[in-house]
Amino acid sequence: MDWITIIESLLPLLSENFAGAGDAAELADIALKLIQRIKSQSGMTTDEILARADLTVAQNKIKLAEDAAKLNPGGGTGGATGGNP
Amino acid sequence: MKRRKMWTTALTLVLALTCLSFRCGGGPPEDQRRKLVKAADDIAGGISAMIDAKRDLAGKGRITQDEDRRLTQLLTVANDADGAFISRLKSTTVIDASNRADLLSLLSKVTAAVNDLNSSGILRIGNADAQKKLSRIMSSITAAINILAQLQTAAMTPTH
Repeated sequence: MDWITIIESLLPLLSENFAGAGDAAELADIALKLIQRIKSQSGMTTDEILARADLTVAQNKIKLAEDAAKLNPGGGTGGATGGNP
Repeated sequence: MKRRKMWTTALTLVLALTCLSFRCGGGPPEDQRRKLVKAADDIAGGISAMIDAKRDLAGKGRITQDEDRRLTQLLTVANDADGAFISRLKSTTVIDASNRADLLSLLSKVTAAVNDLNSSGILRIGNADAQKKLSRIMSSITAAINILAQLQTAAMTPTH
C-alpha cells in the first residue's frame, strides 16, 4: 500500500476543510512539498537524487546569502563601501 | 482552537509516518549509498523549507532581526555541511574501508550543525508560534538525520 500517496492526497483536503487555520495551512504546504520530494525519490536513480540534492544545496546557498546581505548591509562580500563623489 | 489542535495533531501524525517510511525501506546492501544520498537530499529539502518558513516569519515580524540573523548563520553552516557530505558522496561509488572514516566524519558534521540549528537557533526563538512552526520542519530534518545515524551504527559498520 502506497500510504504516502494517500497522505499526499489528504493533505490539501485537510487544508481546505480547516480553512482559516493560517500557519497550519502553510505548514501543510511545506509538509506536502517534503512528502512529494521523498516520494519522488523512488522514481529516480541514485545519481539523479544526488544531482537534485546538490542543486538544492546550491539554491539554499544563494537564498541564505541574499538573507545575510539583507540582514548585514555593508557586511556582505565585496559590497559597496563608498559612494560616488 | 480545537480545530487548530486537531490539525496540529494530524500534521504531527503525518510527519511521524513520514519518519516511519524511512525505516520501512529495507533493501539490499548495495543500497547503502542510495540511503545516504536520499537522506542528504531530505536534509537539503528540509533546509530549503526552513529558509522559506524563516522568510515568511521574518516578513510577518514573528521573529526578530537578531533571531533571523542567527538562524541564517546556523542554516548556512548546516547547508554547507550537507553540501560537503553530498560532494563526498558524488565521488563515492561504493562505501568501503577506504572512504568510511571520511564519510562518518562529514556525517557527524552534518549532525552537529543540525543539532546546533535546533538548540542555538530554533529553541531560542521568543515567539512560541514561530518556534513551533520551525520545530515541525525541523522534525523532518531530524528524521533524515536519524537515518544517517542508523546507517552510521549499522550499515556503515564493516561486516567482513
